[in-house]
Amino acid sequence: MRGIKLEGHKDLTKDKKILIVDKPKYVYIPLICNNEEDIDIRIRKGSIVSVGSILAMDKKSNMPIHSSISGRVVDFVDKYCYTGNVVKTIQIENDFKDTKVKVTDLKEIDKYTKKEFLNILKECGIKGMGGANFPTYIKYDTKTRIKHLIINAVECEPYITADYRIVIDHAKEIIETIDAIMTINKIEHAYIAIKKNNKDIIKVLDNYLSIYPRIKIVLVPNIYPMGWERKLVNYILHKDYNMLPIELDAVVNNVSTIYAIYNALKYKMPITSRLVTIVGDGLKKGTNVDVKIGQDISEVLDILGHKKRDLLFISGGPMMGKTIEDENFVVTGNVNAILLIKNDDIDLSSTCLRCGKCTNICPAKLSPIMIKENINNVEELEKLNTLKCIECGLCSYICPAKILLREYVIRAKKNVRGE
Amino acid sequence: MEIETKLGPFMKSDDSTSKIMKRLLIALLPIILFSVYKNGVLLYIKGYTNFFGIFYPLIFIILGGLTSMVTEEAFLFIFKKQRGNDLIKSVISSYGFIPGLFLSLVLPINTPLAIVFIGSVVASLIGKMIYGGFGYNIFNPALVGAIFVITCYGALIGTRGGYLNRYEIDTIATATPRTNMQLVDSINYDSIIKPYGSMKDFFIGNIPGSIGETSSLLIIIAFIYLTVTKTIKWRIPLSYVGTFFLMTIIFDYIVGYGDWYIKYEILSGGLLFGSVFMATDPVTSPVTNKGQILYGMSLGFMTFLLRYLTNYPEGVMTSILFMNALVLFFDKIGSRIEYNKLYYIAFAILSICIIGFGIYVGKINVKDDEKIMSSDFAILSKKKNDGNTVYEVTQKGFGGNIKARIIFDSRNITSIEVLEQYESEDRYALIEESDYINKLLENQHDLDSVDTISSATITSSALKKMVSRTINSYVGQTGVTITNPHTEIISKNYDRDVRIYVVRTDSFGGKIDVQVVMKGNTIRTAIPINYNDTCISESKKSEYYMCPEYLEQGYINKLIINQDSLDSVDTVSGATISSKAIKDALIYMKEEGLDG
Repeated sequence: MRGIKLEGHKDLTKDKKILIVDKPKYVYIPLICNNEEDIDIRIRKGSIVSVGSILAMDKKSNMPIHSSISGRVVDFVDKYCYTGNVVKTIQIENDFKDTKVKVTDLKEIDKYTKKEFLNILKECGIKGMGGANFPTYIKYDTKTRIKHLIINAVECEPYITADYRIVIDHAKEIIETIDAIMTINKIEHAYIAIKKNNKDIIKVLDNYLSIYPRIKIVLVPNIYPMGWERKLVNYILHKDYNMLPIELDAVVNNVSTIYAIYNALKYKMPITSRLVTIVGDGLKKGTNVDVKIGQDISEVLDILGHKKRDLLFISGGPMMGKTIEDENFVVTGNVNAILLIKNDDIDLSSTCLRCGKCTNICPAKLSPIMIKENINNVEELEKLNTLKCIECGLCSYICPAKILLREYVIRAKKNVRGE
Repeated sequence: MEIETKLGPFMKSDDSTSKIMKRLLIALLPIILFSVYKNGVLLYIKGYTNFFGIFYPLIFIILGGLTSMVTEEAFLFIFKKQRGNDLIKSVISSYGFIPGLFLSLVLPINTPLAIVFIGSVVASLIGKMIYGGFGYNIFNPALVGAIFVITCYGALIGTRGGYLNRYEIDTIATATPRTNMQLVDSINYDSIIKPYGSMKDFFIGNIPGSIGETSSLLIIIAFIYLTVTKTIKWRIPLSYVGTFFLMTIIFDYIVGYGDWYIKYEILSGGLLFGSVFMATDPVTSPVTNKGQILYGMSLGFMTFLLRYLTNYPEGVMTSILFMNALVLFFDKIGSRIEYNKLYYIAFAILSICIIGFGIYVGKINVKDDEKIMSSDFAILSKKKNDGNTVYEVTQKGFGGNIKARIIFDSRNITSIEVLEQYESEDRYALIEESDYINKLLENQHDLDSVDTISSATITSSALKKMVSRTINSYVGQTGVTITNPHTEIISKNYDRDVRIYVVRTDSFGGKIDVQVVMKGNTIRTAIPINYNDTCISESKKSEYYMCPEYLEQGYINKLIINQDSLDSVDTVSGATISSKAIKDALIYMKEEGLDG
């Protein structure tokens, strides 16, 4: 099993009380942040919106973008989103009334037909909250019969404990939702993948699993990147897939996404908030924070009391996260952590000594150093399977010469795609 | 292309190139200390050197490292125009001392310090800097230096005692275990292991060899340490030694030397040191896992072939340098194999070659043995009679066994009498008519020059074989000696302050001429130049006799080193007459070749 045991730093936040910051004055709902291409905006400046109002439609996935608070559309402003890019957002002023869009036809969560289920996922705009932001309904919208449902609660990146808290605090809802999804989609097996060392989660889930014998816990090694979908599927099903897990009749969902599905099925409620682990050198106390989607993170940081000197501001975990230039950064559904670390002088890279550690550790079995050496030779890059890179960052992590290999591989990927 | 340092990941492993190098040095430390003990402390205890001699091995190693460092600095100063801090920084970050340090560890202890210096300059300059320095060289710099030194100065180092330190020269009969194997006429525990003590000495390292390579124990400990700390590419030594081990097992199974032989092959020579420290040099070995395994397997394969099919002594070094050139190729396979199973063909082909050649080399060695101890030849009786030795022998011939009586005087055959033969009358008449048996008698020292009788090939060649085998037995077992040899100086030349003599003395098959170079009353070199010894086989399984030139490496050096007490030097078994003759020549020169 390729990977490495990293220092987890999970104790910093995992048992801390969740900070709820659900009364922002403004939220900024990003329009184009990840896969969205063509946006059809449904509101104007001055429009009055409720929690769950449709602000815009993403024409590509045909999924709506919702308001996370009730209030009035003030303006369209530019903000940083998790990719590190500046994106257009809809600024909404909070009226603190928390009025919700009226919903009808609510059923018990396992009583929906598959068609209704898919519709709810789509209308509630449920997207993968583990990081990829992939529309969840597409995973279930398949002609082949799904046999395996894998719940990814591995959370292998250091520092992050958002998924951990979700499982601990909402174990009952999560188990019920898994059972409902299984019933609706006629899925035979479900596996909740948890790191071996997470004894607390196992204890909590054990209370419910006797009632739901179809759901099993799978303990996975405490290594990074164990939560990588491909690796996880291989670990559980002992098979490899080519493009998507559905080739092996499997669907993989992040555990936070499952909780979002719960809210969607139970209340037809879109994702309006999420848990974000906010931690790092610059904070007096790091913890998990319940923030609204579209909330400007600088407000939250002020509450947490951060010192503004010389900090790197990172969206995501320390391995795959990206630096954000500005604190005026808005939360999207897939942001699971904000990391503030000292902006030390990072060691300058030296000449590669060809130790082979990057090749040895690469979970995708690539040769990062060879990709770097052939960065402009597209033909060779294709033979080196450059596009299989998942950007986990282990090559850069392990390099004794401190070469930022991942960044070279990312550039190589762009070269292969002709970007 | 610049990449911003603010890019992730924001956790970094605490390992670094300098830490890797530090761990490498830690692993080398016990090996260096052992060498100081073996080539310094032990010599001091036994009274072969003064107090400062204890530190000689250390000086040797430090000189190598220091020279390399200075060479790199000079190179950067002259060609890259680096000055001041830049210069210091680049020397620190390029680990300039490594080539010379490793070079000194693979050189014989008797290498003159000046040559260590030259070798280190070559290692750094030709092996590393001209490629662009650290990280860019294709060939292992230390080995480039080592091959240079051994090619250019090997003979010179040989005359100074080669790999044997002074204590070993006195206590151990021959050369290094690997050279010794080339010299002995039959391979068995007594001839290969006994001269050096026991297998334990091989394991611990109390055997002659280069400075760093002898202690298998310490090298294995170093390997474990370097693997656990993730410092070296552990797959390379494992697949290298593993492949060599496998081939040796196959070979030994066919040839049947016994288990000791497998251990001997692994523990002797530079195999372990080379595989752990040289083949794993990060810069010159593959980066991909599968590429490393292929590289290791190829190294084992090539080392095996070099050791068994040639007499070339530097099998490990040569293999590594050769495979260095193919690293890119191994990495090509290693980088594609994960997504294209077709490349596993490379492993399949290599595995077939490994097993196939293991069997093949074993088979051809068995054939050689059969030639020597063939069952169709037998000595029926051997009697001594008035200084003559009378053999009755039998040899399978046409129609049945030929029986003959062969008589030797002190060193030559005086008569060959065929007692029984079953050849047809017509054909045997042909043999008699052509006086074939007399021809054999006359040309007994050059039997190959006697043509067989074309219409009676089987019998005539059987007769020749019979005579050859009887001589072989006589020479090999009787311990024949030449009494009252006649020795004379046949030429004398001056070359500046040295005198070059050619001295002639009686030896096997007639005379031997030895060229002796003297300075003052000291013999500098001695080289056999003309001799009548029949050198049938150049391989280690000499069928007939050992050529005097093969005595050079261990024996003649020993004579030169002990030139003040030549009588104390034992002659070489299997080459008794020639080695005695060379000794006689030197004794003569010590008496007669005085200055003036």
